[in-house]
Amino acid sequence: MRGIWRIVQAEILKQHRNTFHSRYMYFALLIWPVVIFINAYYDFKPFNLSDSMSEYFTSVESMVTFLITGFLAYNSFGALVQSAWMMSFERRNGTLEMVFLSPANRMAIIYGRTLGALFQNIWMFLIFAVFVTICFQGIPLMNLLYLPLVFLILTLSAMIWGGLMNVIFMFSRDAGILFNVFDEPMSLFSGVRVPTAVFPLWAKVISVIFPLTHTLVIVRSLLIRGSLLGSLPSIGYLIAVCAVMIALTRIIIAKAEKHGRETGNFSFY
Amino acid sequence: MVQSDRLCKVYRVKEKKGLFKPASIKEVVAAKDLSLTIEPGHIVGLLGVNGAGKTTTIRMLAGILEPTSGTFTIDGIDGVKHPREIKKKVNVITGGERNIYWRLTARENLEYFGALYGVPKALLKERIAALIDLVGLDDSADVPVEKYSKGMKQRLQIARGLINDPQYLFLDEPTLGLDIAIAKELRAYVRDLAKEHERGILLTTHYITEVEELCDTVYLINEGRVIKTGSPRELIQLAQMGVGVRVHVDALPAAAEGSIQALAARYDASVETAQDEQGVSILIHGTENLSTHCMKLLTDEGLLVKKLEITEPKMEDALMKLTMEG
Repeated sequence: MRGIWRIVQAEILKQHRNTFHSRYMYFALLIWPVVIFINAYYDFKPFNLSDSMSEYFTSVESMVTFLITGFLAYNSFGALVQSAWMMSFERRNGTLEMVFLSPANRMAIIYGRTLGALFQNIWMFLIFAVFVTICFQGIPLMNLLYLPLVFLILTLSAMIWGGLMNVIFMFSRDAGILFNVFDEPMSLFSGVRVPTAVFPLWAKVISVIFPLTHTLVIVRSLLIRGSLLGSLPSIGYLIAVCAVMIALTRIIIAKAEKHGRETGNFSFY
Repeated sequence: MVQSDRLCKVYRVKEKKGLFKPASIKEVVAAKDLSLTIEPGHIVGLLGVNGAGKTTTIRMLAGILEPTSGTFTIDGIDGVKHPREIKKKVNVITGGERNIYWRLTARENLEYFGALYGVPKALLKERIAALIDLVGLDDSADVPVEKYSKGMKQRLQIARGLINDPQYLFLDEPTLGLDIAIAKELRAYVRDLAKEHERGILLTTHYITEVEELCDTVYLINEGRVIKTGSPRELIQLAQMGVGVRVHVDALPAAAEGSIQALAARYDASVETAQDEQGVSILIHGTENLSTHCMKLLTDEGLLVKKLEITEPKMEDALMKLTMEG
């Protein structure tokens, strides 16, 4: 177990050293999501929220809390799709082959990689989210007790999702299409800006596919409603989805390594 | 001990037929029935022209490429069935600038790869310091690799390949791009690894001097199959390259010429004589070096030898000859 944790640590550190070499990167990571958040905020601002059919859009405070939780979770998941896409650079540079030359635990490498990308990509937006939440006072004080649980759920579900994305990109250097499949549709169908409850049935069916949907239901239920019991069915569902994703990650990584060993495609040379 | 038995690797390569035509699949044989042995403490050379299958062989033995057929074991562990297990015992050093993280420093690269191999932290710190010293990167250990010259990146590759103190080290053109001094140091280190620390080494190189200097056994491969095996000396003998002895005298009396011819006949050598303004030049070409016999014979005949030239056979020529003969 200690060996696995060491690999995770080494991967997080390498990810940081290899990708975040300039402090300007952090500002780029903050400004873009903040602009999207402000854009969404002003999309809803002109409407009369008292007539809203959603419990989350009854006041400016509740709307801001809904949006900021949505964007925080979306940035966590979205950043990992991007990080997976970066796998092609590792393949091209020959470093992927060197990683696979080692006997290191493959799942530890993958989850270390995703955790590194997750922390690097969202910590500035997280500070912004906390700042916005304090300013708008959209979360009841008692519900802040659930914050550790919320962060745990958010981190674990995003990490497991990112792991799956990473191994898919490891399998094929042409997996870039997944970036298009999972990026914008995930934002639309997971209820980042609009509650899934108001979706038509066909959209609700699609939304169930994305783990982000269930993560958001839990995060909002805990922080806005303060309902742990009400979140339990969603927590159970998310655990099941995560278990399936871990199993898929394990299967795909084994197949990707076997495929790489057969074809020699871990490296281009 | 590394022991491979009839390893084969066939790649299936797409061959494009045109913009609207489906690509066809072509089978390329990269290795065929390759059987070789690397014992601890031995340096084994794998030689051949480009595309002969050297890198494919190394990648199969390192567990990053699955053989199409055949088996190999490393210290009794089946490398085809348990590739992860054999990876604990081996490492690969390749030539070139890839395979390392350019944004990281040399030290950071080594820390990362050391962690992947599970080297204990305290030991890793010591080993990194020693390896950085070995490859002469002390002054730039904390500089990002992207600022390194080609040779410096190659030196870091060497340090990376040694980070897990492998039992068996596979070197694929390791001195490519290195300056003479570092290449010499690396050769000395490789020899030391094998002879003093009982490590088994497999070396591919285009520098024949490296083979002559280091290898105990050489496998000459062509088109994926082993065509000759032996020590560098044995391969030269196998190629029947022979040794040339040329002596210059003022004149060559008939009696002396007769004695030379008799000597040559005894050792199955050929004799060529040529007259020029300086005198007579005699070339004796045979499998053995006949210079001592020749000198004694000419001195006994009362002749003064003005010049003696010995042409030793070159490994490079021998390998070329053997490869051409297939």
